[in-house]
Amino acid sequence: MEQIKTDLMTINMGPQHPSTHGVLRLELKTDGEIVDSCRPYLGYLHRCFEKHCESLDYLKIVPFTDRMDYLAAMNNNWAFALAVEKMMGIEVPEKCEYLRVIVSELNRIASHIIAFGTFGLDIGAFTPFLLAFNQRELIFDLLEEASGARMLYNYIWVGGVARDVTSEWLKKVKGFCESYKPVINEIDDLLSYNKIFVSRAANVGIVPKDLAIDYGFTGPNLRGSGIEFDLRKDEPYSIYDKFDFDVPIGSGEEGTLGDCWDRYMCRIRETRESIKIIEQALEGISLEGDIYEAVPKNFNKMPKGEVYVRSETPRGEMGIYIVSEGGKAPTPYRCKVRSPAFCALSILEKIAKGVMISDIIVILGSIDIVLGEVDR
Amino acid sequence: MDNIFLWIAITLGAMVGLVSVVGIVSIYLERKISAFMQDRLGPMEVGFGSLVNAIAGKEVLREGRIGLAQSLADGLKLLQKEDIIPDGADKFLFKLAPMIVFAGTFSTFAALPLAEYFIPADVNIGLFYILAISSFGVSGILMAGWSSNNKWGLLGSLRSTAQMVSYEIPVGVSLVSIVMLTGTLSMKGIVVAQEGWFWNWHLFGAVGHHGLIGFVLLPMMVINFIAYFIGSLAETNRAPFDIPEAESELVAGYHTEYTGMRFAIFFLAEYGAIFVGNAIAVALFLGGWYSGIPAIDQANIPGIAPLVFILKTFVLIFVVMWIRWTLPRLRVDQLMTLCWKYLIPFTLFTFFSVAIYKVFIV
Amino acid sequence: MTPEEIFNKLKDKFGESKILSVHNNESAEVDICDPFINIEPLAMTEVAKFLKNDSELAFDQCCCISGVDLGDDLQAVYHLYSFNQKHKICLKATTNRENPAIGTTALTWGISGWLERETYDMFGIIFKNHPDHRRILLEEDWEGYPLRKDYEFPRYWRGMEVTPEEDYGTD
Repeated sequence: MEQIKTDLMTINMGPQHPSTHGVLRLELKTDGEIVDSCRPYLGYLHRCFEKHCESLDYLKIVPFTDRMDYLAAMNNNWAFALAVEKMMGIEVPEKCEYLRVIVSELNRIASHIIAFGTFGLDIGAFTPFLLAFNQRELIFDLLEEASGARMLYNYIWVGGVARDVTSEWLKKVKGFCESYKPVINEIDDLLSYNKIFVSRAANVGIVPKDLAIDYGFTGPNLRGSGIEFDLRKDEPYSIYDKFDFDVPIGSGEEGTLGDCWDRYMCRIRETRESIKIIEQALEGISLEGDIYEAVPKNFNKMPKGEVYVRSETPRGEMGIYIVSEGGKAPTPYRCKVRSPAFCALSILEKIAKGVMISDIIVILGSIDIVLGEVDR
Repeated sequence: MDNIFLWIAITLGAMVGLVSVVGIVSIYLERKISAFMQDRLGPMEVGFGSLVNAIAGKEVLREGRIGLAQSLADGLKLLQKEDIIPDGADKFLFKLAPMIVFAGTFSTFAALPLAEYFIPADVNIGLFYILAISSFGVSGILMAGWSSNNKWGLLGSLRSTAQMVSYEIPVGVSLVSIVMLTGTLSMKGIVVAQEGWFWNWHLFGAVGHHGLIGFVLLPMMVINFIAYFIGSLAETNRAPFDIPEAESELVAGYHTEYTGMRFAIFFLAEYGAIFVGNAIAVALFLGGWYSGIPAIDQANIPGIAPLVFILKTFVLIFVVMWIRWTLPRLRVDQLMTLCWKYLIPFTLFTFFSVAIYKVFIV
Repeated sequence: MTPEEIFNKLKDKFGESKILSVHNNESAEVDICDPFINIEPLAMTEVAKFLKNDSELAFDQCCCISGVDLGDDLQAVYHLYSFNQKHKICLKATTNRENPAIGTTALTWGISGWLERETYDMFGIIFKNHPDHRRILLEEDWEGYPLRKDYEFPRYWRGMEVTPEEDYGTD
């Protein structure tokens, strides 16, 4: 076979391509339809987040974190707030913790809807995408009512949340939870176990356990490879230890452990768990108390030192590393974001060899990258 | 001589009209049907009145409520768009390609048996003619992809060629069974053989030819019909076999670089091809212009025959759309597997069964 | 394992010249910090290999590599986690500003390849023996390393104005 091998063709996939989920450029070397190598080029959406942080007040950085992973802005806000709170030793009022859990889990569902919706879209299934998007709209309506914005919320502040909610809002959230459950079953019927879908997604882009850990997979990607690890469960932050929920992991039930289908299915199942958490949080929350109680008026008491805080966003483990000079310096000396999508994307070079062009799309869809977060 | 030219002009005019109407109606239906399947409304704004007002330069009122004139308005828009030919393109082939694709579809309309006395050209090799001409379009697609000087276009056209060449076999073989039964290649002859009650349709075996014993062919014919239907889906590049223009993989496949009217012609040709593919299924398997109830056919209602034919075709087109908006897309190798490992053996099996039936049973 | 145990284990293996010191809140003279171990920068490659392959340490994931500009020195901070042992550690490798070089860990952890490229991109730290040592987020012909504290924003880049005149030189 080696003799008849023809010259490799170089194809540029992106930055303007329907399926690179933003402005990612992949340089593919292909032998016909078979990919020989795939080299990602990043940076088309680089907005110098880390440089900006060095000249901004801690509270003013929060809206910037929205723009990193714009599909899960709440979780990003929270990740940053957690880091600063740990640094300053702020105790967040319990009501705020509950509100944070509710909005973050809602946002997690919205983000996973994009993840599995566009994954279906990449494989050619248009309808499940739009059916899921109806639910996403409902979530956006809820989050808009709570925070005033549809996608970029600036809601979770250091020490609290930006706006209070009413008991009607909580009822609406409850209503959403009820309306979401049948829809996810419908998606299962329409897409997850569809023969064609399974044959496209199963046994493609297999990432075994050791490779997943080695290449920095976290979150649903890591769990798709069969490792039961969730920061909400294993290193519970905030009040996650109060809730009872499962951590769905991939089992290779339709193909091989760690294939695209497993990662997809992890997300589908995770949204169900999120609903569980929201329902428990709705029961636990009490609307009395001041949400601004622990919000610092200024950052003069910022200690000298550094923290590295990990939290579970829909894309995986977001780590915030803050170095502060302390004293009167109002801005972080250094703020580094460990982006889960950036790390997950690095595996593409490794597993792309020998797959087909269509599979590159599927793999890219299954690791669920957001270029805003990859490039920051 | 004048009369002949006049006749040709009228026929061509009527056919262009038919193709355009079929295209426009199918596009409108596609948009509405997909919208309803996806919990949306689809086109809602452009009615005929607002379209006329817009062309006349008057104030456009929102009077259309179901967007009937949407495809027409889109066509008008595409006509006005800039016609871009990429710098590195092979300009002659680039311009020629949409014409060839359209001609391939357009010519097949000539042999469609809309009614007993409503066939533009009832040639005695009608079916053969349609199959031959419709595969002619693939060279246009190859040209389009190659001449665009675009790698996505090239990949799309290569996929398309491989797919069409492969699927021609199950489609052809499944139709040969019918030809063996009826003993004619004339489209009219094949439809006439299914006259009477609906169980005379070829889908239900060979009852129309040999009475009750013809029912033994029922499973064969159902397999044939399904194989033909899948094959025609693949030949017309429809989902789940739309890999040549898979927008998530190849941007837009072979017509990536086309804009304006040239793009519209590809689009029209695609919908024309879907109509033809399903019209053949109707003519060969579903009794053509016969409604399936003799009383209606014999009542001599003017225009009922073509209406029945077109209605049946659109029912099949609805199924095509239903499939498109439900199923994901296959991968290239899976597509080939389906063709070579499943469809071809099955159709060959039915082919031999029909041959055995023909030789030994009747 | 506690940071002290890890430190002692490393010191037994590599000696004091490569494993410099271990710190926590008190010894590092800051108000808050995670315990960390200072490593001699060029020894990073072999230390990383040992950290991953030793069955008691088993640091199988490199969570994050962050560059820090300390003024006179540049520093790379490694946050490691072990899924096996469920413990974590922070390593710091400090190198000089004029000729910044740290041994690569890209051959040990797959993810380090990209994280080190990012650190190089932003701080100009050279990772010795890195298999694919290129910029990652910025253009390949970008000049300077933006996250260094003395970085000056360029006025033009490839003829395009990237900093308006009124903002130029005002940081």
